[in-house]
Amino acid sequence: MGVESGDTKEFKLKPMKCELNFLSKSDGSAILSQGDTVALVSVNGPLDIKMQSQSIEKSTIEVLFCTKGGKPSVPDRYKESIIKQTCETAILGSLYPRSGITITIQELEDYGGLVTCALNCACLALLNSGLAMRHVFAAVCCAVDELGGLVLEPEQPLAAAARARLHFVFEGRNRTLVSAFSEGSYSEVAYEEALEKCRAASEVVFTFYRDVVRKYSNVI
Amino acid sequence: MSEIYKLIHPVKYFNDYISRNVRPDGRNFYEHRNIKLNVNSIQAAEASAVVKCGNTTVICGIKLELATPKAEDPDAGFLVTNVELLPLCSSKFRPGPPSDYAQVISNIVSDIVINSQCVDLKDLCIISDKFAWVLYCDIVCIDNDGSLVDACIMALISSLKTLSLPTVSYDEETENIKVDTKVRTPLKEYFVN
Repeated sequence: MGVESGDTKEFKLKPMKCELNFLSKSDGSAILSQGDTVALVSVNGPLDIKMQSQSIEKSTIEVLFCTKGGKPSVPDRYKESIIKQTCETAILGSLYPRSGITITIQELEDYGGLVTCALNCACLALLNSGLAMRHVFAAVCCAVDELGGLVLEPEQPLAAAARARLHFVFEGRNRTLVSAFSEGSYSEVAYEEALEKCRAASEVVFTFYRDVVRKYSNVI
Repeated sequence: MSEIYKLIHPVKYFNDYISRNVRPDGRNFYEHRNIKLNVNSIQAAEASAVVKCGNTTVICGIKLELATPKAEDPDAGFLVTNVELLPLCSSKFRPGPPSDYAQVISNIVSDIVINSQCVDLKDLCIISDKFAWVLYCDIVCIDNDGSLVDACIMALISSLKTLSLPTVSYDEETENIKVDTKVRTPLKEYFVN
């Protein structure tokens, strides 16, 4: 089941296409493309894990981020920890104590905004897996260029040349900020502006999620 | 007694203190811990610093090496930072390859130093496209009591401030390189006040 969203309204977010239940052996999976950037996420859980990794009050979430290059590196660990922290707040881990939930992200194409694409895809895969969630989340990224102007969802060459890249993750109920991470130097004013702009842009992503669920859950 | 209480009802333990606007160790919310800083403690390193932030202890040592600059950036040297969280700093870490947490902290510290541009990599270049300095900054934590990134940055910047680069003389005809460790120039820092 695939869904397209070419509607970008007033915000220039890249067109998003996704397909849920893409993999046959996972508990939940999704493949999402935002513009030309594509990510594939597989979710498995609740799983039985080793005694040492078990936590008595909640489930242990493990995230694995695989790049196209294949060799794992230190920046990948950083991305994994961001995605893990975002998913941990979203999943109701206390309903699955002493078990494990594994989220595997595979980068297929990177033309800018890979981490945000991976986060959005992870949310869709979690929805597909049926795990209990506190809220859905949407990630939007923004680049601050040399003159202090903001560009939502920059392309790869613009993002690399930008002074700073800011990423924000918002939750679905009240659009409050869940995670924020950034690289580069920027002023406080630029941060506040980027935060509000991305918050408004996240509406597009949440509408997309709603369209996706509406398509394949047609009894609701 | 409070140790047992902390294990069994951690949320209530912390809330009891927070509701009285104080932390479990007696500090206010906006108070810093005592900071102790000692530089040039490691003789074998070119520059070093030891920082103690409350109980968190972090050591930084900087070593210099010569290398050929990258082809796409012939005027830039290298700044390589690495953070190690030894098993002795906390019961959470085991001996072996760096844990995920250590790699994340390494990445954060490296990003902060490079993005702040406090060291201009062009200052590290000796001869364009031929020789440049590589600064290997090794940060080791020997006691982990929280605020690791803060302590690591403190130790790293203090070491960079005390670092001085030896002069290098290069003979073009014989392609001979001579490093004079006695004549030194301090490394230029760029800080925005």
